[in-house]
Amino acid sequence: MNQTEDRRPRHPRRHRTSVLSATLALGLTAAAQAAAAGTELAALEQAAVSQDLTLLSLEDLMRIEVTSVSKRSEPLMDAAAAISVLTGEEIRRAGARNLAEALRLIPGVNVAASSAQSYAIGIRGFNSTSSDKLEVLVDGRSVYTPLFSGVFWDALDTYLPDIDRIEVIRGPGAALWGANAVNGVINIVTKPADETLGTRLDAAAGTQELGYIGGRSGSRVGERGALRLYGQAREIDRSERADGSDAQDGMRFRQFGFRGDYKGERDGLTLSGDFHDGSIRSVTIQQQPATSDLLGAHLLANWTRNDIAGGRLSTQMSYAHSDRRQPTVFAEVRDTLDIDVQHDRVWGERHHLTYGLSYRDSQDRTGAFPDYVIFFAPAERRLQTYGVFAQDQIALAEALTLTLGSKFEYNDFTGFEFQPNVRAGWRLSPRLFTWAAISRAVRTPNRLDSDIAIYCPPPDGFPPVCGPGAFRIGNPDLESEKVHSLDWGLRAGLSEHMTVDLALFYNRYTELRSTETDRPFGRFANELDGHGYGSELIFNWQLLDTLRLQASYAFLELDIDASGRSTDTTTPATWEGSDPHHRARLRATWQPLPAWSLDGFLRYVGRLDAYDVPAYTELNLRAAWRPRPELEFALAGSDLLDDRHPEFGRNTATSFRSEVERAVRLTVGWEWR
Amino acid sequence: MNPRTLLRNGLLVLLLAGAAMPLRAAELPEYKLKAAFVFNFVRFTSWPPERLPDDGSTIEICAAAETEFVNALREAVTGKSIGTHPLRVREVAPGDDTGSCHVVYVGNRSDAGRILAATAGRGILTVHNGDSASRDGVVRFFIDDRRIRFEINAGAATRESLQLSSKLLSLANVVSL
Repeated sequence: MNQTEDRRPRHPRRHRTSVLSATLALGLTAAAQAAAAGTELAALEQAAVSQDLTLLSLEDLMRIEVTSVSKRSEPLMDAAAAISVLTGEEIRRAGARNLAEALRLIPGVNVAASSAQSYAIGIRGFNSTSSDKLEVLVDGRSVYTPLFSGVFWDALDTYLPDIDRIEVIRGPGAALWGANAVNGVINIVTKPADETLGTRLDAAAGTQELGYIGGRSGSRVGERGALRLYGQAREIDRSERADGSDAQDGMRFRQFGFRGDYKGERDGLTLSGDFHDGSIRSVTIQQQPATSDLLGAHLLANWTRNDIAGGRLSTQMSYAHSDRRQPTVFAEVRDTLDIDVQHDRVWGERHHLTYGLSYRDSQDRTGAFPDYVIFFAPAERRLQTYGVFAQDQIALAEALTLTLGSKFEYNDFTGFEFQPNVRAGWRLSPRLFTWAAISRAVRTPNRLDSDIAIYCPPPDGFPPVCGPGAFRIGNPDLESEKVHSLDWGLRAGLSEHMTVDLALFYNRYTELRSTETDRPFGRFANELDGHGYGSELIFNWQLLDTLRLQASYAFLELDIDASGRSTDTTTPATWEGSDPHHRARLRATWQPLPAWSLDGFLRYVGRLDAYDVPAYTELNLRAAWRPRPELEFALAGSDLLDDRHPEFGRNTATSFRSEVERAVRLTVGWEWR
Repeated sequence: MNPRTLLRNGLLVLLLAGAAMPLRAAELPEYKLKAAFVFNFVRFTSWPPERLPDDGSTIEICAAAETEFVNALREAVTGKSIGTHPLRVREVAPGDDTGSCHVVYVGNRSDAGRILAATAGRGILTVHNGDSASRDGVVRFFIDDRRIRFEINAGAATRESLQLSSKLLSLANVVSL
């Protein structure tokens, strides 16, 4: 399941905004220092101040090293999938506070805040705080938990200035990424260490995120290596409910990590690791204030060798540990080992082959009753997954490419699973590209599906919810959820400055998980079927060299039905109403003066029928001033159009949801070499 | 030398080494550097009079390349002129008419040969990134020891009726195909 970033169709980072980054300015400062001895100092200084490289002579230019040498890149428009890329520069310009806020900027990703620190994130439906139909990768490392096949977004963090790009594929990506990539793949890629030399510090204070401090330091190690260290800490304020009461949330979080890269003649080696811990305000089952604790760490090693067996061999191994405890509610300690091997090569004149093996071993220990009301039986379990995959990208003609691929996976719950896909991409003209795909993907059962149970303590249980006793909801005999999907898309350059990207999809779902009501807390079964269809339309418009607009619209319709023998009367309506039918947004980045930038993000989100969340329109604005190339101040406002609004979750007599408040934030960033 | 002096000098050496580190390597992303190189190539190239008929004629730089390069190029040349000639950047795709271009930059792509062939004999300064010299390419970028170098195909420059300044030639590897 862990894949390196190279397995997907290659495509360049797109629409890097036309602002010279701080790195450039700093590089120039360094260039000025380095070259000061022999050349015209004045010109160099002028170049550094104005951030304009064309002021340098050819001799000076020839003295500067390049940070990364990209050997292969393909035209932007030629990926046969619904794919969007958000660059690190765009994340910075938008003033995103965390990964979830960054994902919100990407068309087709549905991000809804469910509390001060947690989010429901989905693609093409089934949104939930425990969304289980997405594959999420950080530098090729799969980060969803086998506990519920979703991501604890409050525990997934990285120093945002280190992010190179986030790629999102909407629709099944299972042929390459494996089970769980049913509705989409989110691939977060950090920069190699040699692109983050020097030191950077960021600090922020605001009304929602009370305080933040983060920084990194990167340096060369020998001739071919580089290493960076980073660290960050944040404190998020509690949020409020609709009645103005304290929502019992908020969090403190800190993280330290590193990434080292070595680039040899034939070999590339990457090592990365992090440690993080946090504490979250929460409540016990008796509604008493409590603190949940989380802790995690990972180590990753990736070795890539070129020119071996006619292609490139990539081997990646990662180990992750996580520990999460919410007093009286649940606890999970997990250790996961992933090993992936991939080879890709060109074969003959027409074939580009990618194939490999994957193995995952994940062991957990979960909190048992009577200490925790949500528990898993058995309390400890080891799950292993073995996979092989192969893909052939065939150039049928100069303008026509066919991709055939499948992943075959063996898991401990349902045994053997296959997930094939067929894709075709056709370049109709230099400015027009169309593609289509047919796929089958599965979501394999997880610990929650199989083993979850509820404990209601004696003598009374939780009146009127349950009497005393332990009730198993999970079903060890559950089958995989399946999707068969049709995708079609079109990308066109309308003019030199305007592109449009349209994607349409139809998904047929079978054997979705239902909750049968023949037991006090229900019992999982596979009694739901349904279909979903929708579209995503994205316009990019470079209006001026200094002004860029992106407008997007997403439509989604889900229709889920219980089978004739099912007793589940609520889940279909929940899924049909967990995502808005209509979403629209407009993003603008503008650099009115060299030292000033203005960014706006306006979004409309339709109502959620399942949770009685009304439709809302919100606006984020950010103004940044760069008095010196290495220094930037910014003032950012988020959710400015309402005092507060709900985005996700139930609001009933027994369950109160947090609302998102209007927030302002002041940040300073300082980078030097 | 007594041990204390040794220790003090050792520390001094370490401190100096540390201080010298950030001064050693000046580094920038490849595409930004290449954009600045292209601007300089225009400075040191003379086109035949019919390609720039009057003083106000615009020099058009066309690029079939990665978006990040095109953006960097736009940013590098916006508002600038060479002599009396304003500069303009246009993104082109394979098959587009490049007849009005004065420079055609071809990124790292598989159809580079075809794009270069389409420009031949039209008075265009072509800049490409191929692995080896091309008959149809005038300037070729390559990378040596992490630094950008360029090679000039004097034969192609002659066929395109371009005059390249001696300064440019002196910094390049010159070949003739």
